[in-house]
Amino acid sequence: MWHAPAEAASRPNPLASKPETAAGGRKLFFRDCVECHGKTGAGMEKKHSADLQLPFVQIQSDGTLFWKITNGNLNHGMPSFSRLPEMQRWQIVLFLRTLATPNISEHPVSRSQKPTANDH
Amino acid sequence: MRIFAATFFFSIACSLSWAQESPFFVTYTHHMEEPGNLDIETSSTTGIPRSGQRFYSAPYMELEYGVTAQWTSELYLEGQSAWGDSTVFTGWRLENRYRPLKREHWINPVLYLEYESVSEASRIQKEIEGDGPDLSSRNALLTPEHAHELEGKLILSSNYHDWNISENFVFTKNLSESEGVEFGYAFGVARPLGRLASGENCRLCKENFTIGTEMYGGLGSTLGFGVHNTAHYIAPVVSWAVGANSTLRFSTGFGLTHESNPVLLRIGYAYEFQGFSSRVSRLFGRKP
Repeated sequence: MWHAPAEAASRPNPLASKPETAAGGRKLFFRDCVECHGKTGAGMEKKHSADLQLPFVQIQSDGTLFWKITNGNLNHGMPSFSRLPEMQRWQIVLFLRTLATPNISEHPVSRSQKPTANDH
Repeated sequence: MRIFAATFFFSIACSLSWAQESPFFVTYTHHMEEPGNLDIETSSTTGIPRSGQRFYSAPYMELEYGVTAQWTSELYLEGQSAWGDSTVFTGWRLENRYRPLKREHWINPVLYLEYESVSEASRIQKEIEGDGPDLSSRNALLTPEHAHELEGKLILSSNYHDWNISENFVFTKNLSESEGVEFGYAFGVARPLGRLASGENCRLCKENFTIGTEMYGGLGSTLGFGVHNTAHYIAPVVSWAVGANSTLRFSTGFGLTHESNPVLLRIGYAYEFQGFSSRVSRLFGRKP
């Protein structure tokens, strides 16, 4: 299971008060993430990559998303991006928040997608 | 027809992205090639001679492929040209790196195994083991001396506040001769110049540059271990993500012993084909 440790999940985004830095996160996303997650972050079936717009991704904490970018998911082909400076990984997290669909109620979370306590 | 299509496809397949290569020429980190990506790099090692040595340049090409997120494989082809001497093909190498742990840790190990089919004229010095290369003899004497070698490395690498700190321990066995096991080392530290990415596409922004220093050398062999009569270098390094999928690297190594070149100049250019495996699959009509 791909769950962030509680200590990592609770880390706040140091760039939360600097939304303008999401532009850099967008550039990094297009450089490093689009190949597997697509230009809209909707994921690709052939890559078995997550749809980053979905609520079950967006309700995960900033610290959880940061941890997942840092460690990757090597069992499923997502590389680690620990080579990126920490702040650039936080920029990607900031950008990921802009991918959230505007009306979450249109995308009901199924039981299998409900986050566990470890995702927060 | 398919070869033409392949060439045309690759020539327009550049996505707007900036490759992020390690600045090191000798030291390995725990960062692997992304699965399905192909990295092609051309580099050269140029030795500024001391008395009794010849000026030489040793170019090599690498094809690096991400087999999985934990396994990277590379093929090297190399040559050497010495002033007042000849230009020779010095051999090939097949390298494999495997990262056993699936999470980031304080120290991240990578296991490295390489098969080398190279002559004694090889001077690319991708690593230095034993006493180091013979920098004085002519190619006519060195080229017929061909070795089949098995090289292993223990790679240890850490990321700490945007610094990468890596240590490599090298051991090589010549399968063609009974000359014991040779040892070497490489240490490197590096960090990107810019911590934040700008929102603009730019070539000269700080985030595109990574600087560092590496130190490497030979440690003799099981027949005589130590730093006596061995080559050692300390080398500042810089890499520059120049644009779409490509990186330039530079290094000036300063020899620390009489067995070393006084100066070792290195330059490398790498181009990354993202999603290479998927594109090849589609080219041959197979589902990627």
